Amino acid sequence: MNNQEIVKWVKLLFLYSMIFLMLREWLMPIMELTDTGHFSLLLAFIVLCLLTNLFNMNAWLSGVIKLLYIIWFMLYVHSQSEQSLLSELTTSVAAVFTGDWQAITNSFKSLLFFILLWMTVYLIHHWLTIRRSILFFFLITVIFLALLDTFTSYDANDSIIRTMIIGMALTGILFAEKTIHDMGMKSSWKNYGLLIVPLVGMLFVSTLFAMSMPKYKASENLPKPLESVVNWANTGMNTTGKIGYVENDDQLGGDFEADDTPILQYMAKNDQYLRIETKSLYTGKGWTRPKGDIFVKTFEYGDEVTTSIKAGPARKRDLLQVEMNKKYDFIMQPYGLEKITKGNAKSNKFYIEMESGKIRPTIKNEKTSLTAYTIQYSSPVYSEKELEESRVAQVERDSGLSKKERKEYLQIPKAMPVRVAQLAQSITEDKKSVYDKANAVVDYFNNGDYKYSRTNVAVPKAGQDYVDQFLFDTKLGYCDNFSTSMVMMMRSIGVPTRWVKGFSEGNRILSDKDDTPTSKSYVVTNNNAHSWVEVYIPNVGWMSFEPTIGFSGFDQVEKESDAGDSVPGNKQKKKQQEQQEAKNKEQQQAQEAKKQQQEKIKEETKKEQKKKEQQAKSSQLSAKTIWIIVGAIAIVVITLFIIFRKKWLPALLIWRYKKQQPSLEKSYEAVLKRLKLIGLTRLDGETLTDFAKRVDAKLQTNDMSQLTTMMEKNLYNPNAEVATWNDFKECWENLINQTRG
Amino acid sequence: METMTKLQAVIDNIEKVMIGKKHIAELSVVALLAQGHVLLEDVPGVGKTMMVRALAKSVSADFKRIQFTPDLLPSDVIGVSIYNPKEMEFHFRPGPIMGNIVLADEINRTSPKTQAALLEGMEEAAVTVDGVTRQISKPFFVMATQNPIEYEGTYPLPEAQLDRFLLKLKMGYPSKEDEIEVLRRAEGERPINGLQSVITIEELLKLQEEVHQVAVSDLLKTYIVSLAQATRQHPSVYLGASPRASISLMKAAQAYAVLRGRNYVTPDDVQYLAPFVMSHRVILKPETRYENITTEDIIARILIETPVPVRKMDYL
Repeated sequence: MNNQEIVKWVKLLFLYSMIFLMLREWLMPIMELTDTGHFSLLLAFIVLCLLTNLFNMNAWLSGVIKLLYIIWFMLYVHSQSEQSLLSELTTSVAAVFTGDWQAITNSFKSLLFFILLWMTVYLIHHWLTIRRSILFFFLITVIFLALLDTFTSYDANDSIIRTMIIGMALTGILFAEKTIHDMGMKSSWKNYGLLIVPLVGMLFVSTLFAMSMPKYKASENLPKPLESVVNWANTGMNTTGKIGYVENDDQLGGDFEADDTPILQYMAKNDQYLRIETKSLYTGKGWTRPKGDIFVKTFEYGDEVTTSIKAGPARKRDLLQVEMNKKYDFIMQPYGLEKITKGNAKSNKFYIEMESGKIRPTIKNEKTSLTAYTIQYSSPVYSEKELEESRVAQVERDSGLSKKERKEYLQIPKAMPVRVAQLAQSITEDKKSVYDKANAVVDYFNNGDYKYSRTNVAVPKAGQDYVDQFLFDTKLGYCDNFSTSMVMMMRSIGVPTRWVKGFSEGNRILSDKDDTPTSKSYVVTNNNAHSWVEVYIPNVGWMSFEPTIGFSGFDQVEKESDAGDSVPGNKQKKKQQEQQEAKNKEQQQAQEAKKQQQEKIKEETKKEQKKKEQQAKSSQLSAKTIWIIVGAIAIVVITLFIIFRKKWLPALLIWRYKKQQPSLEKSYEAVLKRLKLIGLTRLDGETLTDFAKRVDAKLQTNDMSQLTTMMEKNLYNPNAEVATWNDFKECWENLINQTRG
Repeated sequence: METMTKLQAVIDNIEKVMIGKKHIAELSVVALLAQGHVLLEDVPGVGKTMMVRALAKSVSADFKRIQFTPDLLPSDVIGVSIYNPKEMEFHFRPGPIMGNIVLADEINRTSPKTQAALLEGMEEAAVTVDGVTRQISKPFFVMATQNPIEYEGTYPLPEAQLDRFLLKLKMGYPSKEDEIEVLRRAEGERPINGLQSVITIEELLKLQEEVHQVAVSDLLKTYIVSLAQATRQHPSVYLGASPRASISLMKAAQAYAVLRGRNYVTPDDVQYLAPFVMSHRVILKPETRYENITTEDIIARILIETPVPVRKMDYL
């Protein structure tokens, strides 16, 4: 192996490892977002594909190796499944034709995925070796990652940096290679060095330059790129979003699709609303935060935390154990949070954002997410007497709120129509206490005019206010509509109010082992994403209210007299209603559990039945299916024939001409046509000899020149003997074969 | 094959003296074979004279040289009758044009009268003095040189007279390596003195006959005519190539085919020769000249645009 060979191999090895890393960037989000396993085995497959391409292995051999790998993978991974691999595949294929997407098995999906990978690697190999340009793939990768980062939960921050580095390296090397190839230079270390060293130098200098430039700090405050597009996509087009917690509430409204993906499970004495954060600045379309810095306080495990919500008495103290199914970089807070006692990660510090009350766990000042933690809390209890004594006028004098906070929590957009305030006034004017006024607003939503729905919910048009639209026009909506409207109504009568986001209590898990009198298990799904209201009651403090109809709300008010035996009493009517609801709910849950059990018992028989049904179905459809399959195969075969016409057409031509033994002119014409197909066209002013030289240089033969000399003699020498088939058949056949590529 | 080696020997011979000017040597031989004449246009000192002398020596032909000056008279070129008092009659003293290979040096330095005398002799291959027409012995080959006309003190040749030259060539400066080689050879004895003739006049005349035997198919005649017509129809051209130009192109192509050892002409021959045959026969419009477009550019363009006939039915 000479020096040039070594350079070639080092270069190829480098290029292919870069490609591998780039493909890995593709695979990672796919794995994460689709919950696919066996990442390393898939990577191994990519390596296998790349290696066969790298060593230019025979197409048949490499195909067989890859197929064997795929079969091994499917046997290995899907070995637990009851059906045999073959039958799974056949049912899947049948399912594809009947459009029964649910019935497609995982093994079939894996097979398709492998084929996709195979094709991708082949395509990239083509880009690398033939086109010597990878920019397109690079660009697609960046766009792919950017889109994923923007529209999905995948965090592509690091990934995009890695991709940029890999992409730069690839394009750089390929550019060097292209230059060396085009200039006809030798591919030696020196030449590569000459081209690559300045490239690296330039990269280094520009990196230094970029690093020395001033940068935005605290990316928290900056809107994510494309965020407006995301919002537009989610709301502006009135598309159906998936329900769940999102940080951004700039644009409220629009439909939500139910999503029962579990978010977390918690164990506590009672069900708990889980609070995440509050927001104070209403824009007329949604909620945002005021400009300015975010002030934070830090605390550690076991520290007493002071939140804006007063914790309840010691007798209410309890532990809340949270187990997260989804990673969130903040803590779910029960009302009356006192301290976080432990968590699964060795989080050094927690940050509590003063403005929103959001608590973020951190490790070494980097955001992290805890997957399990325990919180000590004590549900707040409010005295009815104190509540009844609160007056709007006291807000001004109350020292519990700073002037700035008061202003913030009384903010109303200027464009808010007057009728909202008028409505609030009319609802609450006959109530004296702030507490009663708040309850009056809650009750107003229960007057029958308003309906709870997650579908057909309007998005405010330009110039329209979200609250006004809901209160007067649509009267149909979900928690955001109710809670935002209540905040605005309360604010319009001069009561500081804020908007709270989090999860409602979730569903009880009825299982024998976890259930104890002192702690019950609940599961919270995306469906439980919720928003409600906290009203500042003068001299009492923040108190939560549930304006959305159909939700249980809070159980937090005690009459002075029965404070001792801890019988809670909100407004009597509401309490009854709540209890009724709670009962209903429990019954429902119990029924569901029963149902589930019944289902479990019946599972086996059902499965059998299903199988039978499927078999029956497939036999019914068999005739049709066979036709479809035959048709599909025919289409595939025809497509393949068309795609590979370059391969088989020449063979056909040679066979035909050998039989016919046509004239030189006709044969030459055929060659010209074939050459045109592979991109070699004679120009008008080009003589045949010049063209032949060009063709021979490209195909690295001299057949074309030989044939052309004969052809020219034939054309331009009237006295010459006409060449016969036997004279030129050899050159001609070689040429036609050359055009196969 | 034999003719090819003979001609190749001539070219090799010239190449011994002229370094890196193979194409000029070839084209000169082409003109010699086609019984045409060559106009070499270039600045002094690039080896025009050497070229012609080398050619003459290789052919062992009678070499004559005319240095044109402003005061040169026609009789200085074609010859004069002198009265011999002893024999009491006029004797004709042939001028320098009466040679086989004539170098007409700096033809544009002399008066139009004298230029006309030379050109007439070239065209007719004969001179007429005192009413007697005298044939110039064959082969007759004139290689005229001229300085580019923008130099001072010159009489540019009229277009009609330029038409008499089969080819107009430009020597051009040698490349760096070639010039170094020129210096190296100039150190010792002048190599021109050591040149031996490689072809006899009889052989040359036979070769000239052979040129007539070279086949020009109808396809190629069509092609040559379409090229000439393209120059006439070209929007930038004031005066296009004449039918004489077409004939010249065909003859040159025939000679070139002989040089290449072929007995038929191909479009490549025509394409190769067209710039040398046509560029001095085409006059551009003034506005085109102002744009710095040369006749060579126009002809190159025409060659690209005019379809080459590659099918038998193409010329019908």
